[in-house]
Amino acid sequence: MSLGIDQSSPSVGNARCFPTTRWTMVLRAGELEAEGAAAALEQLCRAYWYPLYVYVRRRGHPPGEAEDLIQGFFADFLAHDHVASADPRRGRLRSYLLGALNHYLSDTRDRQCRLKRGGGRPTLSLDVAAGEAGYVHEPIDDLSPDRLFERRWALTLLNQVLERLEAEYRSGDNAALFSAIKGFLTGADESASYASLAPQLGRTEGALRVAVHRLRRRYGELLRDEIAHVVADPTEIDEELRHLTAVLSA
Amino acid sequence: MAGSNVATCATCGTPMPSDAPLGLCPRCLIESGARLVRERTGAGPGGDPDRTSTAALPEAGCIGDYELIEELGRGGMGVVFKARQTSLNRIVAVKTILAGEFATPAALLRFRLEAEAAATLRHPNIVAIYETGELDGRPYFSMEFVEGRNLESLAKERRISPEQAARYVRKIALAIQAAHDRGVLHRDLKPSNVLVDQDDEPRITDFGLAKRLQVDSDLTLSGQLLGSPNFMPPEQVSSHHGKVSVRSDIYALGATLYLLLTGHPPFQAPTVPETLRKVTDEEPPSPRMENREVPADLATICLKCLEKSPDRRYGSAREVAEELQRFGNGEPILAQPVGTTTKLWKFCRRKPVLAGLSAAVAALVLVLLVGLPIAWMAVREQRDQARALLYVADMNFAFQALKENNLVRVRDLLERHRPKPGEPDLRGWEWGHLWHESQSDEVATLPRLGDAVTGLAYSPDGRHLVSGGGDRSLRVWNVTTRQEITRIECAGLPTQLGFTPDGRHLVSIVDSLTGKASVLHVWEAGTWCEEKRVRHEEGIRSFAMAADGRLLAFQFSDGSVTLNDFVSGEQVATLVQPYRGGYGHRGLAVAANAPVLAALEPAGIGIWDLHSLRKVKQVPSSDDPARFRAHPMALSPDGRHLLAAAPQSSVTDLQGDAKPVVLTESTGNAVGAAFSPNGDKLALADVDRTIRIWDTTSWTLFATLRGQESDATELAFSPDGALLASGGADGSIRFWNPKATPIRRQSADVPSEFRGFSATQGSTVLFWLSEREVEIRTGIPEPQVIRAELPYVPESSAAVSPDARFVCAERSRGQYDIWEVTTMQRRGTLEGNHAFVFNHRSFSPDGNLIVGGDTATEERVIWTVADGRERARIRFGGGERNWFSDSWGIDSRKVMLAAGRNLGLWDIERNRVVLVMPHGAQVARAVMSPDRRLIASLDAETNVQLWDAQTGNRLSLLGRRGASRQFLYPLSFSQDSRRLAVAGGLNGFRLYDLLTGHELGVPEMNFLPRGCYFSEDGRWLGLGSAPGFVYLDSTPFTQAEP
Repeated sequence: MSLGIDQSSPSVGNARCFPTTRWTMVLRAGELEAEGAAAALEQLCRAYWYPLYVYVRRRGHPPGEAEDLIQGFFADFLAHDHVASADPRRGRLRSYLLGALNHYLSDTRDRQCRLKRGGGRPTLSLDVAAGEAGYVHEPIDDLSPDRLFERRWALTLLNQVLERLEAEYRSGDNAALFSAIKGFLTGADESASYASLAPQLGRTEGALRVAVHRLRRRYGELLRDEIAHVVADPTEIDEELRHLTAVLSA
Repeated sequence: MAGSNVATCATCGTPMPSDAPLGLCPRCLIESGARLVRERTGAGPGGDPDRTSTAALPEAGCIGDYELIEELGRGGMGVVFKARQTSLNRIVAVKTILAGEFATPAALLRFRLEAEAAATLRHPNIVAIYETGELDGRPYFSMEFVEGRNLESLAKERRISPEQAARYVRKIALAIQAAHDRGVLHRDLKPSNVLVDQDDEPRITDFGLAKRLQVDSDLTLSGQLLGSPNFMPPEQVSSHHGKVSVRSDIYALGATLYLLLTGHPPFQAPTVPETLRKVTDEEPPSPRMENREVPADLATICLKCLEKSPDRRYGSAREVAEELQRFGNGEPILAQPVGTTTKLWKFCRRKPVLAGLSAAVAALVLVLLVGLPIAWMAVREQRDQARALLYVADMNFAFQALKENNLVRVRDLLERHRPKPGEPDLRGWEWGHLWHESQSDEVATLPRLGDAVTGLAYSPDGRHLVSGGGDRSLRVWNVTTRQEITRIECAGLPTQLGFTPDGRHLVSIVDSLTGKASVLHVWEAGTWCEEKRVRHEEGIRSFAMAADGRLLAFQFSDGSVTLNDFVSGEQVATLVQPYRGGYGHRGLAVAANAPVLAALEPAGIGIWDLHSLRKVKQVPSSDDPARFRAHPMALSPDGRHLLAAAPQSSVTDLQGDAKPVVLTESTGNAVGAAFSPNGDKLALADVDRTIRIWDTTSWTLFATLRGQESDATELAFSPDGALLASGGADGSIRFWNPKATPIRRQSADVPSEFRGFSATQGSTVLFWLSEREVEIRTGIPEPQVIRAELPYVPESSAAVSPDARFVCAERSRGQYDIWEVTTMQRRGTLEGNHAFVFNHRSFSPDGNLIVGGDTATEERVIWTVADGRERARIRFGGGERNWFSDSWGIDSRKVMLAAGRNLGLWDIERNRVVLVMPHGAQVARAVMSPDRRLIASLDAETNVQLWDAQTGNRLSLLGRRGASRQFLYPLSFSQDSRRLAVAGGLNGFRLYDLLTGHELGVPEMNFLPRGCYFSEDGRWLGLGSAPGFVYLDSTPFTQAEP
């Protein structure tokens, strides 16, 4: 807790942009917060664009075209005043984005102008190359675009949660601990593992159990928090959680 | 444990996907996560969203007699809770206003109206209202608790059979009929507003937009769109609120049925304007196209409810219920399915040009277009028509956004309509006017902070401005260069800043991010090095420094207020002890030049003398002190005036016992306040994105500054008072000139002795000063002023020619002279002894002719100005004396004659009336468009109609101007003949886009104009009224080639 004077650049600190706000904020933004909400929406889009990309690819669009479509979609999506027009009852970010994308795709098809790269409007800078690199590793199976989207969405959300969790451990100089005990997150409670792992980490078995307990608890908190970002109403968290479980267990 | 390179998950045995996050099995991850979440619901330090959402609730979780159990849902305005009514021990639903203490008066009023409207209704299919009330300014009402789902979510969840849908809608229709019988319109009926209870009975709720038929208060604000676009009838969309009727609810019944049959509303589009366009423009596809199981009769009933024209829908909700009953009984229904003729008719209406391919159809179009709000002007392509409607919608939104001071949105809406090459330019006066009005008043800005501005302080020498931000930094700015000089990263959130009076130190309060502690930092000005820090475990909500710089006052989060010695840090006195309910209050102010301190106490605001440390006064506050968490308090530099921004912004004179002065122009929700250093001005930042400045001697509003894009919670005057800095929630820091009134609405400098005014089409403005004197102005905004004095007082009337060269005045009854204005030489006398010249419009536009009447023969007469000789004479009508409504055609060769209900067009050369346009009421005003193709008229029933100036065919009824029939003021076409302005009505005037026939919205007026006149260059629209003449500027733009 020290105060220092920095005359050079803004402190880097937590440069990683995790969504710091919620879909509910976007939905409920009144006129007062519309600007902030627009930024929040953009941030959410940035975090969750990949499932949309995968969806478009699975619908048969080649990489270049998929990139154009996704860029165009976000340009269009963010340029229109979705914040002002969002209805708090519109539901989850997931379904809202997919619905909007489908509209956009059919509109675009109608207009036969697929190469619209946002028409000079501000676009999100998305790392589409990384997106394509990821897509070629998507499991080759018979998932429909919708199912693939749902699955990719759930995985993206889990990734967000784990990245936040890992970042917290890393910032507390506990990266090694995290890496060693992250496997416990999947739920297995194997006493043998504790016994063998504890000495490697220079801890007692009891201390390790406490560390794992803390890790799990924090994971649960972050998972709930992340879901809260993308649903319209806190009452939907449980339902969304059930949905994610169903998608990933299928 | 499961390694990352194994092919299957060690826990669940499923194949491990290649993209497993951190190599962990996603299935196990989510399952264990779900378990963990369920175990620990509501515990995360990330904040429990439930708690966040109810943060605005009364602390004890109670509203009056009601103990809140859980939130059931929320809409645009209200939030509904499940609650227990303690006195009756029953479960109820309680709805209260969402925005709570920040609700605008309009929102509060609308909420009360809902309660009031719904409370009058008793019907098994309407959710009953038990009680309405108000707690701490927050209105609420309790109603029956309905266990069940709303129809929308029900329809999403499972397929509803057409028969079941019909049964639901029939019951809803009967309930709506019951509301109509009580004179209440729902206006926002949609599936999500219908709950289905445990007995599968639909129950209507949410009369949030309800309007009592007989109460003629236009609370819904003209032009403001209320309701849900997907379920809204076209008449509600096009903001003709006057037309919203019982048939609007019929439409909503149809839309509800449509959703139940198809799973979605009749019109869907990704954006609201697009949806609105579809609602006004497109026919809904038959529900049978989506769901073949829908019986044809049911589809017919549904589509009849959804007719664009209210007249073509069912006449009452009962009729709908009866039809649905017939359908249910398997009897034939009364409505006819849409046949070929109707389809053709509709097709023509939508695509007049395509339809025009066939001559027969073209004739049909011509017939059908009469009376439709689509103007006759050729709409070349349907695309252009859609664009024109979008333009109209966007201009309405832009006027609305302007009212809300959302200048960014105004500019965005305007930008959409800059034509691209090859596109028609749809813009008119309103576009330039909105552009002009949307320019921000700020004089400079600083680079935007990454997060909200949380504190601002000017150094006493005026060279530096220090800002605190939600990005946990303090930044020191050079005010002259507007450069950031230095930045101090803070360990927490800086919440308040201030310089010591000698300017040597900067004091900041930084709140801990984890606990409630605050740290007081003292920095040396110039080097910006930390000199001292003091940690306070009880958080500091507010601090202030005494004028002599020796004492610091703190207000802590437990409500207590202490005085401390600045140098030693020792506590000198406790002014307010911690008190219950004081948690988190902010209300502390110290006068800049006097030893006076004001602090919030349990019972009001206490005033202390800082020399004697004695309390000298208590200002009672009737309001909940909790409001001071968000609204500021300030003392004038001399310590005489106390501003309290809650419950409304009011100023108390501490030296007397006079009642506080309420600053009525404030919204009552000010978020920032500052007195100027010499105390002559008070600035309040308001939630409507404005900063208002009051003159403190008279407490009159001096200026309203616009351009904020968010709330400005921080305000700081420069020490010389020349600049006002504001810090916004969006991280912006702006500078304003608090001494200048921004000039937006130009008003002509009206001579003080002015008695009345007139203006001709174009830009000549006349002020009559006395019976003999007239002042003529040409060339606004920098007019040439000519004054003339007649040698006698005119008998009854006088007129000035549009070129301002001549005055025609009645010397004695029936005898008129023509005087040259510059020399006041008599040029001639009108021939005849029974002449009557009506007014300034009697002069022809070219200034060569005068039209008037012969009172002996009841004939119209035309004289030449040059010699006064009679040029033509005609009889039209039977002596009805609405002669004063006669007016010249634009080419000076025709005169529009008003005789009773007929408007005639007199061709002077052919000396006959070539066209007669019959009206439903006495003709009051008529005007010809500059391109000579249109005539607009206003009749005594205030109908505004458009006529073809060549054929005399009525093209459309633009609308009823409404309001009093007493005042029938002149109409004015814009020079490009694409806009028509009509003075009068509730909004001051109306502006029509003649391409679409729709209203474009108008700026807010604080007076009712009696006439409006477009200037010849299109630069301004002049509005005249008894107190003067105001002209609304429009920034010129280059009109694109058509």
